[in-house]
Amino acid sequence: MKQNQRYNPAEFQRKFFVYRLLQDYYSGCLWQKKDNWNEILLTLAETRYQEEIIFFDLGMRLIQKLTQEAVYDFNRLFVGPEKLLAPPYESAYRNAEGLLMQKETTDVRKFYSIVGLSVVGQNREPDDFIGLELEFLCFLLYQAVSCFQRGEERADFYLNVYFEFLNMHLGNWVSDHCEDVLRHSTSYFCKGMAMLTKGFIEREKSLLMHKEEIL
Amino acid sequence: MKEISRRSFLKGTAATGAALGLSGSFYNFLFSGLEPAQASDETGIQKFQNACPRNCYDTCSILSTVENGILTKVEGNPQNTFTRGRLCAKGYTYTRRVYSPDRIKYPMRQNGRGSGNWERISWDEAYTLIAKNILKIKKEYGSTLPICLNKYSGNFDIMHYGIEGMLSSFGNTSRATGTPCWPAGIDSQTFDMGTIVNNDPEDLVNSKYLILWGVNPAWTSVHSMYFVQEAQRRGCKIVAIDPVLTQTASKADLYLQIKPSTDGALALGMARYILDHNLIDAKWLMNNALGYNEFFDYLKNNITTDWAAEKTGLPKNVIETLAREYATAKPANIWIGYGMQRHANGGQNVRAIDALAAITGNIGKSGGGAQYAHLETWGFNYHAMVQNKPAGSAGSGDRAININNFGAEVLAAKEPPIKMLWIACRNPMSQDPETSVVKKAFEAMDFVVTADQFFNPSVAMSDIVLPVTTIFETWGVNVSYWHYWLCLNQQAIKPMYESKNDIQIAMELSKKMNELEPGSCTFPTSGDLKDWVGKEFNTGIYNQFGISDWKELEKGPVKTKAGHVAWQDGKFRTSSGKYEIWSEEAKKFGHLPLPVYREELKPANEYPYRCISPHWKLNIHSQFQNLDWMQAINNAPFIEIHPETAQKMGIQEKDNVKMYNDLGYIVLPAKITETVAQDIVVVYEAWYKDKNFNVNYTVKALPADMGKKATGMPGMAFHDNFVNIAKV
Repeated sequence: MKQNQRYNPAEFQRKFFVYRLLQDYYSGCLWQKKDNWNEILLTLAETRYQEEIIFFDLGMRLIQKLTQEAVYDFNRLFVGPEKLLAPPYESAYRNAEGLLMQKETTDVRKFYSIVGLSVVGQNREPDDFIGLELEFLCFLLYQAVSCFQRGEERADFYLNVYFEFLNMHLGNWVSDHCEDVLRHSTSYFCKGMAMLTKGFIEREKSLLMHKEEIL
Repeated sequence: MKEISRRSFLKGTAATGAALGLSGSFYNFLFSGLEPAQASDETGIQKFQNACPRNCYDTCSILSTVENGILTKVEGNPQNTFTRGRLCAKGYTYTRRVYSPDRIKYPMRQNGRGSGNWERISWDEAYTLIAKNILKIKKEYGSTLPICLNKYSGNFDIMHYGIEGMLSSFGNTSRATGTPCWPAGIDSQTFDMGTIVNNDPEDLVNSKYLILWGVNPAWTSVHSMYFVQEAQRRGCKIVAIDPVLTQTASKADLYLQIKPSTDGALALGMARYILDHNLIDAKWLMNNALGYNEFFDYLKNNITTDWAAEKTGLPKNVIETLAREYATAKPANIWIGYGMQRHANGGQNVRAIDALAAITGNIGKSGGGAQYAHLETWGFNYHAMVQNKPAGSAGSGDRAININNFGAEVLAAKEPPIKMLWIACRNPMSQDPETSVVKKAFEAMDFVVTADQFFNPSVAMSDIVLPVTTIFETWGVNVSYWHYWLCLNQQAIKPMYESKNDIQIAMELSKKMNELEPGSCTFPTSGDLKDWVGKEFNTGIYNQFGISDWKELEKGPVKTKAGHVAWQDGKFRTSSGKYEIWSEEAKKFGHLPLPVYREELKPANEYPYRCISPHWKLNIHSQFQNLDWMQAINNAPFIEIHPETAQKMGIQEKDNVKMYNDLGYIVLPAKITETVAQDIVVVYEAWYKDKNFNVNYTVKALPADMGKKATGMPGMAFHDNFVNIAKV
């Protein structure tokens, strides 16, 4: 690939949008954006991921309406107070006993510290909460493209960390998590978001195979 | 072409991203959950002092290891010579409790009690909703009496009595009063000796003869079991008396499977033998007791060992041997369990057993005694608890609601009715008798608030749930009702998620109430929880434990300096100052003055089996059983049935059995075992997560005979539950 295609800003831009959407979803602040949901959907369509990723397409069809039922469903899946049906934490899937704040969590913490980041109020919220992992990936992309635009070599470093993290962390458990959502969810919306998440992250992960070409 | 459209997309979304309010835009990365790393003080390995605050004899001293701000290990603190560096199976699960993905993490509101439709709300929203409801109730009914607190033993940290303080700071309120656990026995010893005091359990090793009467320390006080077995090693004979062949009984030298609720008959039969064979300690009685002549007359006129044998189902010669051995081994000790007093005649039975210890002169001696419990080390300031009511609070005082008949009394409360519940440190929907009535009471409320760590049936019936801290996330101070140690509970880690200590909640709610209606709540609106621990101490406690400042406890737990042999000074706290075998005080509370036999309840024809619901080894009431390690061992309730009974009813191992009475039924698999008698079934009183029933659905709110004097309400006859069974 040619140098200018490797860091195609438009490509990063649409990834950025999806990451931010997923992050807002998992952080529970999407519900405050009910009024401009249609506009968000239009922008999402503009990413045209639905043309490449079948799960993304299916997901988009299911998230057309943001209902109150979806809010309750979301809380049963990810928030509580009942036993979570699809815990949004990496360690819940990857720790042998499903316990949070174990080695799996501190491994994620180490990744954050590589680029000088940490969780706000560390040790209150598990570092491997999906919303934080999504934010981290989004940040790495942002740094990569910013460095590239400034002509800094460090762009490659950020992109490397991006794929490393995807490969070692989020990409390793998010499918299981989304399967749990699809199994237990009672709303079209949360099912749709699970498909979107699964499709998108799996695609990102698949790019890793062509990492040498991209980098 | 594709390239162009993507470029326009880029241009477009840079603007729309911001307009839509998604977090940040491409050219302006806004952090939300992450931030540039700050210097942290949570680095390296640190050790902290903690205390297990559960409703348990052992109240363990815990040493916690924290690595980089994460709790990585809990172990017993070896400085405590009672717990001796070990925890129990439940205690070792504490890291699971803190970091379970299932913890309640945020304040939440349920739209429709029991609907499962939960919304996350902020603490401010929660306080506003709660405060407005309290103020509305006060306005509508003219007082805060329609607000009822049900708080008890989920956390026995001294500062947690501030939850009662919070209710006081609203005004006069209704209170779940009494205790389900042990009141009949407390009253018995209060009538006999003036209060409850037991020998230091570490003194068990000095016994020559030890009767474990209706107590199963191998499951419910594992650290005591060390001292029991050490006594045995030193030559002490261990006798276990229990309707169920427990783990403890299996370690005893002699096990007696007594008919339930006839313990008083056994004690009185033994007393008659001791009297007849002149094995009494007349000198001790003359110096220390009142009413022994009347008691001896009663024994001579009414009691025989033949009668005792018939009542208890134990052979006469066994009773006689037991009596002779007990009366002649000096010192001889009896540990009276809480299980044996959960009967309609439980209090009277405990008095008869106490009398055995008295007539043999075993009271006030190292290695002797009639051990039940003590509150000798609980003389704190109760700074968090003692709060003034707001000036001009309507009503003449708090209203007592019987904790052992909670559902019915909440529903029956009039003028004013009860409209709001605050549930803390408790799970009445699992632990109370007559669960279906309790559920009706929850349903009848206008507003229910529950503060807890995990979702349970009481949370399910609440409007608001508030996440509370675990012991590692906050400060506290703990003592035991059994051993004589004092242990600080240090904050070891930050509170996870948005959890808060109940006292923090009280402070912040008070702030909100005063914002909405100045002067409506007297609870302090701010304070440092560590400072508040210090405010619980006084010179009495300092002298008792030989410390001069509570901060010395940061170095480790301490034990009382004296008083390890109960009643050694012979100064009983009855009105006469003597041991009162004849108790005028008992008479005042409607009991017979002597520890005479009160008939046990017997099964009726249609319900021929007695269901005993003792404690299970992997839980304390509704705590611990919900954690994965416990679930891995056993994750479902079962019913224990004697092989002959099972055969008669056509029941085989693991068959589903319906256990029922006129209150309701439960269906659970059979475990066929000779550890129970033919006419008894056993279902352990655990709450099993994800099971929508437990044994309390069949338990009537039947009072024990005693408890009113010391705890305000009679105890609960949990083990007088008569049922029938059928294969389904």
